[in-house]
Amino acid sequence: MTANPYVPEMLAIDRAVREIDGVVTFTLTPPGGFRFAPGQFNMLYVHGIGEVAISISGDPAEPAHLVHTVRSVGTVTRAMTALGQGSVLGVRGPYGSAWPVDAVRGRDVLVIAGGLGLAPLRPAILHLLANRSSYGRITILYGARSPAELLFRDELQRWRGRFDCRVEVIVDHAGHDWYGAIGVVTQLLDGVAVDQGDAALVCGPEIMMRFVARALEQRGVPRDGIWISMERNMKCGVGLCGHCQLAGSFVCKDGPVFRYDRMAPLMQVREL
Amino acid sequence: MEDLERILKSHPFLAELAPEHLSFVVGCAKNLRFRPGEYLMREGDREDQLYLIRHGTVTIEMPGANGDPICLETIGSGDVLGVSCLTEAAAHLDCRARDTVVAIALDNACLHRKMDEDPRLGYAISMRLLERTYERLTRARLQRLDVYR
Amino acid sequence: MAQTVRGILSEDLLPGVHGAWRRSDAIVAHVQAIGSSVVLDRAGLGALLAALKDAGHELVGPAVRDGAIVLGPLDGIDDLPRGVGDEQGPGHYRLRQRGDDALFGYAAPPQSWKRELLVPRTELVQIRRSAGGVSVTPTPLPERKVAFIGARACEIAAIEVQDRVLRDGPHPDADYAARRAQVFVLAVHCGSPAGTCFCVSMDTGPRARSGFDLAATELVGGGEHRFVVEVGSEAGARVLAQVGSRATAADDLAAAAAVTETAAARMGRTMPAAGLRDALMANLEHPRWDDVAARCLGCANCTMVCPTCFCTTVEDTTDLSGEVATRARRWDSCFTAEYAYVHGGSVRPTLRARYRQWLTHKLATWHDQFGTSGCVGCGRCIAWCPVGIDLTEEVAAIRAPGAAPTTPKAATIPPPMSGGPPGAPTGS
Repeated sequence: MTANPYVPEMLAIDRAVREIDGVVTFTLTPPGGFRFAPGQFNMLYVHGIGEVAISISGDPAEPAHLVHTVRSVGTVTRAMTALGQGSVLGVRGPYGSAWPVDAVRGRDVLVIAGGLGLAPLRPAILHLLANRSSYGRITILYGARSPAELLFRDELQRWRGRFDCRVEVIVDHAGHDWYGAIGVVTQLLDGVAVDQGDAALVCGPEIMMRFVARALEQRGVPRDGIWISMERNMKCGVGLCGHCQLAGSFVCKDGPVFRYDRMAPLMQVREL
Repeated sequence: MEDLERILKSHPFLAELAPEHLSFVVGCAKNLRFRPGEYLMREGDREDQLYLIRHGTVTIEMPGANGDPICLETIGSGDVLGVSCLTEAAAHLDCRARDTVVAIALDNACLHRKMDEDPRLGYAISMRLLERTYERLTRARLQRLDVYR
Repeated sequence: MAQTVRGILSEDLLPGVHGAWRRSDAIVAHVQAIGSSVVLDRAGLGALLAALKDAGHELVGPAVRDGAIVLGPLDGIDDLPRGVGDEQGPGHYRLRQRGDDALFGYAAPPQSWKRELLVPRTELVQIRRSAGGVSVTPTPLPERKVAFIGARACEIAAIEVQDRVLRDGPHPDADYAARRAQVFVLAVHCGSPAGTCFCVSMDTGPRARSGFDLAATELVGGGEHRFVVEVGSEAGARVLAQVGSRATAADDLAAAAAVTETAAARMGRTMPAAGLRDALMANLEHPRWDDVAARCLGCANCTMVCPTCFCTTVEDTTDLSGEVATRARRWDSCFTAEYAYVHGGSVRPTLRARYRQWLTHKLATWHDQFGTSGCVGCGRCIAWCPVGIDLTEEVAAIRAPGAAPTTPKAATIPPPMSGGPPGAPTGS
């Protein structure tokens, strides 16, 4: 008989690490491991409270650990980020589409993240760096609200310390203790070489992705060289419940990662 | 002089400017170096220079509530400072070198004169300033949206 | 065509052979080939319902309740709404006496068969937390053989639409699929469309072409009250074989054809389907959306009565101790504020956007997603809208000739690429 797609697998939290204010990274160890493609998400369930779609932020080459980075923004995520080691999370997935890390082999890759959007891109970055020789230049551009809200700061520094990829960070606002760039993430594009053959993986708030896509287009990157990850309300994760519809697409199963030429027209219509 | 012309040509602001215009403009230019903390421009000053930043970082600041300056934006290599140089406006922000900043300063009065003399040059420079202004406006809008909240 | 029932009967195939044919030697029961028809009189229909019950089916069909035709459990033929018809219009539904003995003389009733397949609320799983750990108990799938008595062509079309959404994808809804697999459909072709009907426009009726085990045409008035019953499946043939019937005569078939031909000519409404998808997607900024939003109450009635609307949400609750958590699936509607909620607010905060979402999904993007329209022309959303919003009228206004497209040029929306398997990169 058909398996019930709504039944989560309950897993104990091995590690809960506070990244920045209100953001926690959970590590789970599913028996038998957990294979996923960078960009995919799981439905995470908190006992009796509810379920939310959360992108996997772990290393795709390390299926023994299942990692999610969660920001406390609503009822479910508030309850979730209060959980610690030993508490139980429900998991079902992986669902949705992936960053085209294989399709863009051989090309220069721009990874452009805003705020918590770095989390869904982290598996893609880890994949790119682990397969470094398969790609041309790798450039990671990251914008955040303030220095205190830079996600994965240690890891950004580690990536920056490699000699084979470029990492640039910018924040909207900062005090005097910040010696880095202040402004918006599109500004970082001025300092890097952008070519029409580049592949750009972009994740962040929808408005930020639109600004970035436009800035990329101005620099010659065609829409079909840009991928974005969309966010919509999800209840089932598999195209049954209807909530995540965006015109003819279900964000849960046709996305969350879409090539920008498919999304750009939809983004022109308000409240679609 | 030839050196300065080569440097001017390599700055994105003047990229693809016609060679005769470039050699015309070079007469208004001088190469400047600012020490960390030094002001390129101060609030209230008349903008008498258009800076083409070559190296280093410039902070664009405003005094905050408690007197501490708030940094609105940093700009760097390839950017320009003083986009309102064609107007009579006085600078409304403080611009300070964060580290050693190397910039070409184009004298405003000189630039104006040359733009008047050759309207085609005037048009080319105006268009570039307009583009930079629009870019700055777009950034300011995105920043104002506070999208990562 | 027909072979005698004795030829294929065996104990395990038909454990409960109904008495009708055994008692009477005069009427012989035959196993009919798929596509062939027989004639049942009213007693024969009663026997057919009894046979379905004997074979273990719960009968679900129409009865008069609370001033409406309601689909619910039936004991037998006597529960059917004899002589009752209806009149329907925008925001209007009344029963009326037909003045004849018709048992299926009404149009689409308020609620569709959706209630039986995509049930309004069902528990999915219980998760129990205790000192010993966590135990997960999925709700057992329903084991319930149900016979749908009197399903219309439009409603069968709606079931087939929902099959594509809920059963035929890579992640079927287990509860729906289980219920669906146990349904026997006794269709009754429609002879009494209402003022709200437009199945002819949507090419779904009034005659059902497939999706039934048996399909009857009720012949009433002028001669014997009888049913011409067509066999649609082997299961249908097996049940029919247990009741007395007579062979069809040429005039039976002609009369049956005339019933649906007449019905087809009496559609209360039309909604030309050709080019509808593109016309709507080219008019996402049409002023008519503001106009309809000013009338719409956002009550979600249209989505509740729509036989294809499939949106559901999941409710998470716990018992008082907090130890036993239950997940339940229940109907949701794109008209609610929470429906499109992403942290920070709804992506469709206005009724204008919500109505547009409902209508364009139903009539346009459904094609992109599932290769069919999401509308079957049953007219329920028109009758049960408390302010009488009529989608055929809204569509006509949006498609009014001479109007320029209103969707921003940059937003010309092509159908999505045929999606690869989940998890596949979206680009290449």
